[in-house]
Amino acid sequence: MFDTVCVGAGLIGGVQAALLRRSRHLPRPKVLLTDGARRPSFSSQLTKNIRQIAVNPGSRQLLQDTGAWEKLGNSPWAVNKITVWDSMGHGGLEFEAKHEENPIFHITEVPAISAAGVDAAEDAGVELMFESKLENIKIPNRFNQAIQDTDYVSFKINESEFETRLLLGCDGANSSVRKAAGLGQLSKNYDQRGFVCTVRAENVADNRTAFQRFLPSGDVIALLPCEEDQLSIVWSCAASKAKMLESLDADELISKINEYLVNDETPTLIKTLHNSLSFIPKSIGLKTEMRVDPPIITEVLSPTGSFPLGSALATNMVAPRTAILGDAAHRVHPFAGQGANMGWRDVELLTDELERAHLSGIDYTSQLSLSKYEKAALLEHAAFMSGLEGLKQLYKTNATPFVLARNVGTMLVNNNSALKDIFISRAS
Amino acid sequence: MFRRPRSLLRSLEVARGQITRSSRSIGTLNDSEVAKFGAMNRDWWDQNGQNSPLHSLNKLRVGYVRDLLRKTVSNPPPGLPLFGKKILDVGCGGGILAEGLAQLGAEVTAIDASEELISVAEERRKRKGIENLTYLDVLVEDLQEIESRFDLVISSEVLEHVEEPWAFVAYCSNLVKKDGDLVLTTINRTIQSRILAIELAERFAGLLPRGTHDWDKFVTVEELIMDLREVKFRVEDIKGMRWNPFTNEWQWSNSLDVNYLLHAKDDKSFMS
Repeated sequence: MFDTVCVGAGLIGGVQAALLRRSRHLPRPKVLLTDGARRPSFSSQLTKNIRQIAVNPGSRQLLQDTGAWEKLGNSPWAVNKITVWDSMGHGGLEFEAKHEENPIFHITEVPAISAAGVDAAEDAGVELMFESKLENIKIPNRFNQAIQDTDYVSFKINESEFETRLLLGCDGANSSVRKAAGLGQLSKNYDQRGFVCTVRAENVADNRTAFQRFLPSGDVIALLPCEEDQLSIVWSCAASKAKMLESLDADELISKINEYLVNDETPTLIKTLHNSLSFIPKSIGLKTEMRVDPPIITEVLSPTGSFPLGSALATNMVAPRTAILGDAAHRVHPFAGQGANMGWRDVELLTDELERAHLSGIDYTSQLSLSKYEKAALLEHAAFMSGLEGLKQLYKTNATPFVLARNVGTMLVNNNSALKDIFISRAS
Repeated sequence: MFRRPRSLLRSLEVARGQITRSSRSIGTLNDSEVAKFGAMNRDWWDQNGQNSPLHSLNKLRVGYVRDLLRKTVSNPPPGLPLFGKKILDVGCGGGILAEGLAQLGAEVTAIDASEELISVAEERRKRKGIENLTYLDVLVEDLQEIESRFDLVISSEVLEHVEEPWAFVAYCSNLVKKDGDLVLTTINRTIQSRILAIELAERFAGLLPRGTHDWDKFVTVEELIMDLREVKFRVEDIKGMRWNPFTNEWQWSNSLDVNYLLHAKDDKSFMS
């Protein structure tokens, strides 16, 4: 009998398993980390990995607490500034870290974090099983009146029967745990894909600035620095466009990206309005224009690829003796770089509730404990996701009043450090 | 309310250590109360069932014991702040409190008059493989002869169901080690408790099964303090507890009008 089984050794599975073992408030649970795939490994320097993610300070703290961060060595790349701008008018935003030692986030390769998580879990005494798929998952019936609440989850791996007091689905968007538990999900398919590749760039100075450009077509191009002169590109666009980008040869791709980073699609009416009205903000001392000087792409360093985009939020995140975390429960548009961070937030919220339940003399694998996690996580994610959706819609439109409002809004935010702090604390 | 003949209490010399076999003629058992709770055994552990307030009450009562004793445990293993502490739970029912204390590492002995509930608790204990928890189907008066005493004796939501609460308190106190602690939680006999616990909870909203409580048997704070004084226990702390039926959450409260917790310590050294 295991106390906890974490299914999925991706970004969050290893971290969750390690955290439970290392908790000072739980009695050294017997934890299993399992995945159908092979054990994730640190990629060699030669093959550049194309998926990079932003690790915000809260997540970094969690990774440090579990011992995973130190395994990444010097590879996480600190980013001290984010520049956001669109291709219309003058709306631009800059967020800067107050101190260089507290960067806004770190850019790190996805497989490296998974591998670090698994290593940390192993160090903490978590049992590992790879290339082993869970089958025949049986979750106790929540309506069973006769139970003295001693029914646990059972499952099979390679024909062997196992039991666990708690099953955690950290197994991504197609979570087998979510399906076995019959947990519903509200999802929205954008018919969009995220096109990704790693490039070399000029005009990046010390390369500590992340860029993000919103285009009226709804595209978002994110440039995430990941080494001295390298950027990881995540371009979210219509599925057909992503396929087109994937089919381009290196030179064509470079010119396409560079073109989209500098073009100006401002309608004449807005230009005129801007020019004639800009004396108003100037007269009260506001900075009205932010000149963005984007990087110039010179070389494609990795294979190209794309992944489907969509957003989804589980209607329930727990079932008897079962909880889902991360992408298994929610997916968001990658433009805010929050997907993985929301997953790590789940790890924190869940672990907090389990510890609190245990110290209160409540079985931490019981409904009373898990329902608190569900409430806390759903509340936080639902609010955050509706905010993201609104922001995205705002940038998608090109109707004159909205573009003006957006430009005025961003200008005001840009001139107001308190407001900026709020944005930055939400984004990181 | 004339609950008990106080002269009888004195004549029995129930002061700690002085309870003799003869005093066992004063029984704390109420058969109909035991039968009533025994019948609830099927869904005792259903957290969404009739006992949901008892499950969530662990936050306060286990939390209180944890904070009271944790200072006396040096270097406890992770997650076991009560490691090695000897605790007696009197009137444990299906073991909701006893298991909560055991999961924090205490060596728990839990007793109840209901054979059905003890078997529910014992079945669950076996299934979960909890080793630091012993269930006994005995009355507190039957335990008086045992040799070792307890660091802490707790009786939670029981006092309002027993016959002769004063004798029950005396028996409990007699099992506390020197310098040990006695923790009791119960319901005050006030107009508020009559309205909340009986009229609202049982009759109107049906949050508790009808007949769960008999208001006349509730024990006031004053009566309990007097009972403890008789056995030379000094009251250290009294706290009100409030239940929110909408969230099933308990909170500490300044009001002692309905549910309350009382903590007392052996006072003989203090008196002499």
